[in-house]
Amino acid sequence: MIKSSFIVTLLFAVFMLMTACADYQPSQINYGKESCAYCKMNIVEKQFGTQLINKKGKKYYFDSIECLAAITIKQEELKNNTHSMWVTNFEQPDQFINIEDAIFLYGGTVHSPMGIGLLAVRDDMQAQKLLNTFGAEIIDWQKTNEIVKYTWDL
Amino acid sequence: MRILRYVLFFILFIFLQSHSATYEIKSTHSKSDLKSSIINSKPHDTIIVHEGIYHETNIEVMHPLTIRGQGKAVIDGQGKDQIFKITSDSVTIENLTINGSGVSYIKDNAAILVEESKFCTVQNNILNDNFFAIYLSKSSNCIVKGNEITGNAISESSSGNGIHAWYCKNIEIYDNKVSNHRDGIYFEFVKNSQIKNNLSSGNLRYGLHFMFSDSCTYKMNTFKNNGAGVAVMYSKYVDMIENRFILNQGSSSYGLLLKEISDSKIINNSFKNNTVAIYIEASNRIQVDGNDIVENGWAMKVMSNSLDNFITRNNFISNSFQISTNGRNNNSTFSENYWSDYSGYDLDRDGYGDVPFRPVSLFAIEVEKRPQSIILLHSIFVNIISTVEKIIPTITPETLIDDKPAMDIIYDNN
Repeated sequence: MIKSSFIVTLLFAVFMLMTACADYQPSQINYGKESCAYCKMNIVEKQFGTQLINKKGKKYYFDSIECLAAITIKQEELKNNTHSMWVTNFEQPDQFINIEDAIFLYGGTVHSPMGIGLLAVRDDMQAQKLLNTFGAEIIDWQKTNEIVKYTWDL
Repeated sequence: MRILRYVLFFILFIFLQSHSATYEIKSTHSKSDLKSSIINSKPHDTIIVHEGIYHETNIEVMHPLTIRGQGKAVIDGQGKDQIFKITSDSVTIENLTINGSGVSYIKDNAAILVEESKFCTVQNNILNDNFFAIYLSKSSNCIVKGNEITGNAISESSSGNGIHAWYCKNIEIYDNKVSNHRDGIYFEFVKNSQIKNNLSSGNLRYGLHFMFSDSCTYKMNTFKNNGAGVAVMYSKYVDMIENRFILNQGSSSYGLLLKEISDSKIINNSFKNNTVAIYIEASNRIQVDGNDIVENGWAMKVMSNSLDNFITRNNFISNSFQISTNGRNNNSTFSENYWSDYSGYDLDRDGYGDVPFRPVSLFAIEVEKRPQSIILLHSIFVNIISTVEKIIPTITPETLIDDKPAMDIIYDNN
């Protein structure tokens, strides 16, 4: 009897451990140390870092929105196993926004690490403010993908 | 007739002289002296800035002018805004010390910004603690020469680049020293430009960084102790000649990183003590010839999506791994290289070994798949399986061989 209850406890503990392991929250990128999973560049620009979390909870870090979009276009398998994608809030570089909630700005004088000129913010107020500063236009994630696909000929 | 010509020249000379004045600026003058002198000067005048400290920002130069420092003339932006903004052709800035352009996420503040101009020269300046030091934007035929550029990007990533060129043509960058910036020298959408004899060291990301820049040459530069030495990405026709790549170390560090580039040359360079000396991914028709690749972790990583590259007459000496790859396909040619771990023989005495050399060890493939297994490096188990693999290749790429390995070090390099 003691033995079976022990096994049950053990199984429970293992179950807890497993659920604890799968962490789908974005974590801080180690800027200056980590390198981009797509373009191999060191990730140093804090306003542009992005990440992809797959269904197993593994995190892939990127130096830009461009590279995040590009990897989902190029690697079908990774795209199908994606749990969530996160982009840095340009206005608050320590904050990650799910791409579903993000507003993207494109063009004008935005100098993003991969040259297409993409940044992300959380709300309309921030977007309006930067819109004037950069002379950029507001786009959604779908359009972002199209721009990267077209510009890099993927 | 001849005398007449001389006289004419003399008159012309006098005429020109009388039309370009020299203004002298001293630090005892009021603050706005430099700015007002620039506004009041005529095209092609010279402004001499005397020894002293000047707290100035947003100095705009809108007509052709020479601004020259005499003694130790320091222009200090005190961490606010940009300092010089050049919007005219034929402007020269020389012998100045310029410090402290401000950090900003919105604006790329530079010590010297050259915008939509031609024939500008920035030479012999000392630039300290700037966000961006020299920033060339949509400009052409400019010269950046003999500047000493030191940033403050030791740990923080909020630093700009030393010399930054964006949408430029025919730029020449000579004899500069750049350290402690994000990228030492950065080219984005630049064409037909030369980078020669610079020292780029201690930069956070790359010593030199090419993005979408075609038909450029960099020659005789030294890249030391950077996050990674040089990255050439998404470019064509780049010639890399006689450079030195030293001590670029770290878990994702490279001497030279090539990604999606084509039709380029890597000739007579020296790679020493880098984590990975040369990394090639998705790059085609690259000629790697006459390089010395010595004492690196990996001499070369050639990803199998690279086609038609020629790796010839290089010295591969004392690297932990000579070549590594990620697949069984190989579409590059290795020939006439010297490999320090080649143990074949040369019976016909033609200087080349009679047995082909396989530069990819089984263990290199294993480490590529499972990086943690590096812990087994030099263990007896690994040595045994590597020897077996050498005799009966099963896992290493069959076609990745040097069919004509040199018996001796090739000395005519460099």
